[in-house]
Amino acid sequence: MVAAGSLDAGERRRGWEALVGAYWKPVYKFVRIKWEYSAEDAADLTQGFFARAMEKDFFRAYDAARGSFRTFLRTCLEGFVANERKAGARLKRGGDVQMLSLDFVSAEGELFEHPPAAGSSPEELFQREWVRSLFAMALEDLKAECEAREKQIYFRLFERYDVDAGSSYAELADEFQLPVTSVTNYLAWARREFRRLLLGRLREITGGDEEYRADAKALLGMPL
Amino acid sequence: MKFLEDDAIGRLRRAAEAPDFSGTRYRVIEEIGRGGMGVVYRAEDSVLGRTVALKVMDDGDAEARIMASLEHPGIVPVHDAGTLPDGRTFYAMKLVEGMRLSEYRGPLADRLRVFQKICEAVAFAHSRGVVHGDLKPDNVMIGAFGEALVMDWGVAAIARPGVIAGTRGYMAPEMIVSPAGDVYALGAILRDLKDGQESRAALGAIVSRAMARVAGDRYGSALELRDEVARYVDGERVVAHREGIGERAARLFVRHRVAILLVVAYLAMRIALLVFLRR
Repeated sequence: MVAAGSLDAGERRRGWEALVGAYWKPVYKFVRIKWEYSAEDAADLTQGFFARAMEKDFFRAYDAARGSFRTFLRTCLEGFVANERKAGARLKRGGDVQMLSLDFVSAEGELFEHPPAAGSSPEELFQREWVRSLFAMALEDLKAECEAREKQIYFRLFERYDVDAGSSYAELADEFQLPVTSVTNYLAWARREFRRLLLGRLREITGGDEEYRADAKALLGMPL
Repeated sequence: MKFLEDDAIGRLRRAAEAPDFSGTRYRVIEEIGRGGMGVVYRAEDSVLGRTVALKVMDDGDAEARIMASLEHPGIVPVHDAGTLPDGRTFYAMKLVEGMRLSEYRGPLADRLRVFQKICEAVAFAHSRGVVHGDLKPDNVMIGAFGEALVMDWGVAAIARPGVIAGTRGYMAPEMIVSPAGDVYALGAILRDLKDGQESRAALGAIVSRAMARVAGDRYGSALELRDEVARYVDGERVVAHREGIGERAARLFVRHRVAILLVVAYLAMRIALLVFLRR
């Protein structure tokens, strides 16, 4: 979060990418469910929200003493949508806003295939989708890390055991032609890296040390 | 980007918090328990070739130090302690194969014998200045040989004067961690153990006194409570219960039934002999 407000252009861009990467799906799904906008309108509002936030730099107003950044961002979003509704107009696709490359079709597909649980509020959906985005990004990071270090087999084992489940160490050892001890060691390495990358991502998208520690405790059940 | 279903996120959470024991003598086999203070795993000690329980702590090593300081047959022995690469601490302890007290279904006499052992372990800890703070049936294991082992001293590790801790249903009204609070929790455990024995008024009176709302009205120590239960088991009068004449007669009959039956048999034989001789 700090990086998104950095004076260094490169760091600011990376900070924004991390922020948008973690929040765009929660924002899109929240807009779709809370105000029941069409997929196209929700996509436009999501684009417009991040474009306006970047343009006006309104995340700079965030004060860690007043709550989590996640709640602040959602409050900003509610204010933005309320203004858009009041104006009675919606942002034109490709108009005066800088378009982000976001895969709204896949987000819409997820919403269709995995609709919110009955009785859950849009705010709960926002929170769950935020967690989902965080873990998905950390998983992508691990994949990239394994590829860069030519440890693809580590990632495949991790994906099979810790994401898809259903296989034992012995079955994986047999399938990958490895001793069971290697499966154990590779998975231990992958988990350690995954934890490091996850916490790195969390650090990027939370509003300060206190929030980061509280979220790490809530997500991973441990203090740092 | 791959869509992660909720159960996949759950698995990834566990993967991210999984302790890294590479470089140690332990190999984790499976998670066997999870509480407010840490996670317990079944693990193999590769040096000694035995299975142990490893507890990875959320915060510090105070619990391991407390348990290590309490060498008693009713308290799980700690074998080893250390620090993981991520900074978390862990300790290795005896893996108790058995069942939790909450699952134990023996006859009342056995349950009361187990209860007395729990009181002794708690009294021993109190004598060392340690208060458990979260006594409940889930924190007592019954081993393969019928031994009772008091587990989970995590609250004791954080207990300072005035700390509020415990589990609803076992926590004293004052909610403060103290020896009197432990006596209250023991009373609640006894209440659970005597379940189905509502007709036993003396046992009910012991529970009521142990769970008195005012700490000063409870038994003065875990040993006092143990002694009171021992009196009940031995058929003696319990301090907490004022018994009626019929109840007293029944208790004395049960307690002295062998002697009474012998006297009755003797008298019956004398009478039979007299009747026989008068013929």
